[in-house]
Amino acid sequence: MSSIKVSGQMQRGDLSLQLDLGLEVGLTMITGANGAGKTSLLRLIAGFERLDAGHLTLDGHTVDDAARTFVPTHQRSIAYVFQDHRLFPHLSVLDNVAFPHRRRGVKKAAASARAQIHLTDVGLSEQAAIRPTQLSVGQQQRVALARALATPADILLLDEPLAAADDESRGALRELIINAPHSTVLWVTHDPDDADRGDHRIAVAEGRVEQNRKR
Amino acid sequence: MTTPRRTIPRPLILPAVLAVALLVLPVFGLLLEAPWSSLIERLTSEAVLDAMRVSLVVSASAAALCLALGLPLAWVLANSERRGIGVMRAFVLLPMVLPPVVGGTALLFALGRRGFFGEWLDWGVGITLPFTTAGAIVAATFVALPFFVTTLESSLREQGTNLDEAAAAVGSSPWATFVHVTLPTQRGAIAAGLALSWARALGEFGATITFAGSLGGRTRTLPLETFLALESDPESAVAISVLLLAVSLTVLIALRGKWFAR
Amino acid sequence: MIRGVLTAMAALILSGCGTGGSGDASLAFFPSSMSFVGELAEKAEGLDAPEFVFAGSSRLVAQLDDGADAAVLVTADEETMQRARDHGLVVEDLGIVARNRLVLAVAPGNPGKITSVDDLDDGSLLLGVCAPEVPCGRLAREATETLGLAIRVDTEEANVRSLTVKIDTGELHGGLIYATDALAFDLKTVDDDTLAAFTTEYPAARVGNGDVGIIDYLRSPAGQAALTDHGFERP
Repeated sequence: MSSIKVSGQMQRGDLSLQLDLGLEVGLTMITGANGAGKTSLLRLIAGFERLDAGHLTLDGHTVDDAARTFVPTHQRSIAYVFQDHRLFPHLSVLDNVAFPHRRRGVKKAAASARAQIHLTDVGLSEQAAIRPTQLSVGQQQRVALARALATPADILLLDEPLAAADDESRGALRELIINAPHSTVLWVTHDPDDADRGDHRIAVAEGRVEQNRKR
Repeated sequence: MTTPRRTIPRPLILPAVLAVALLVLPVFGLLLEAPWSSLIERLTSEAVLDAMRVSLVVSASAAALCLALGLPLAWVLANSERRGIGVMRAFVLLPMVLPPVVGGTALLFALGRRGFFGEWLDWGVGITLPFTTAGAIVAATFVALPFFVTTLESSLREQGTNLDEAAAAVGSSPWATFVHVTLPTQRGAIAAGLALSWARALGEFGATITFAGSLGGRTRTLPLETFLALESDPESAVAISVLLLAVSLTVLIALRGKWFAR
Repeated sequence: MIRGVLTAMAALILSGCGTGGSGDASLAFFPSSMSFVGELAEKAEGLDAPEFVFAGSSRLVAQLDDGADAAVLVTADEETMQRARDHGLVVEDLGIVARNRLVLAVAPGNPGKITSVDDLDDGSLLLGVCAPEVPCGRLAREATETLGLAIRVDTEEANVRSLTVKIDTGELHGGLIYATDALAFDLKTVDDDTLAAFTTEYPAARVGNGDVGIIDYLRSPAGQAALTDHGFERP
């Protein structure tokens, strides 16, 4: 069973994305040169971009048919880690991670408790009360990862989640992602060490996807 | 290590000095003419106190209306890519460039008792706006709204959609995102917009006197009181002017440059 | 190029300066309600028409205070002329040139069904007077106090013309204005007899060097006829 099916095209400035692929459950590494379209593919699946032609199906449901059907991002079962992490500056680190739970109606105390666990997983439990702006870039990225891991969803989308990670934490964080609860994980990465660890791997070059090896 | 101060190009010095003089001299003139010894007495006369009360109610209500109506409008203008948005924005800016009396006249012919919509308002809902405090609030809101909307729109544009996407990506609906992300992060701009529109509403004269008339305790605001005082008691006019000047300066100092979109 | 721009700016500014007191025509300060006098003077035979400035009476006095170089001053009431005298502006009193009656004007069609000054107490009507700071307002107050009238007004306008306009457009049901304004806007008036006693005088004075022939003209039969045509009363 394919969890994500996309067949169509998307034009964004100079980039023309031509897609015809199915992505299965498990961890898929997405590699490719800068500007090849890796982020665009992720954004398309998330719902930040629309197809110009074709259709996109998540778990059998058509979420985008380049016409009248379009399921907005917040109604798709996805979680996203941005390359520029995008933490909420007006909330503490803990409240950032608790945000997904709070939006799903979880009461403050319970949400904070769950958030604390996720923070501990990324090794930042001490920094719960401070504002994101006071963290280093690497730390902010870890909080963003914790926030995504805290989001209950079928699909986890990560755009260079470990780019700013220092070597000592990289290994632990990599394990976290590999063991994420989300059934489908798409991980855009530059790092060959990361790329080796996925169940599947696709390469994107100039808007085209080479679907290749299962491990 | 410090950055050396940049040298001012010679030809710019004189015009800049003249510009400062033009802006500052009237203020100095006002302060020199002010009846300092009788200032408090004049400012606590019944007429002035009445005008202060009216001004406070009108300007505060107008500011609140600017927030309630202007924030949604600013959001739409900032987030919309539709064709007609440019036209809508021109209409929003219109009260800013229109002479206030023209604005007041337009309001009168639209919302006056015999105006286009006013007739319906009167007959259908029993609301008449001219010569009421509510009318003064409408006039003040009309002229102040563009100030709020432009402040918020430029701030929203500057913030961009990054955080909105981040919130959606963790399952937050557009409304929840507005309440829990947009509003808190726009607090500064909202405060600046409120201060600006409040100050503009406070100083409003032409539209108010044309649309709402002037009656002590109901629609006679401080600027109207000043204008009338000029006829019979110029010293009181100066006194009130000093008061309004002090208020305006306080607002500007409190904003301290936050108004200017980066 | 910069030098050229600066020279041009300087020339512009300097040419704008010093216009006060230029020209040979003497300056005449008249109240706004007499603005028709300008055209009248141009057409009058044997009259050296002065240059006119029309404004609210107290504004005229303020300008004279600031050193304006006028020959003649006419004000819309005695009180304002007294202020001019108190400020030492008056060289010679030239007497009253006209009077203006207070009238109760009603909106076209009289939608408020106003018939007498007693209707001024009707809270359901929209009524206006001039603010007490201006001559028209002072006269209105004098009338209501002398007649012992209670009035409920919805606005005290800053000048009689804006009040007249609001009556004319129907925004107000009626108001106390001058006979001249009612005539100018073709508004019907009611209860003239009750208000007949309430008039304001237009005193004239010499306030500087120059020709005061305009005052003589206004007092002449021709001038008086013109004034009454516009709704003024004889002095």
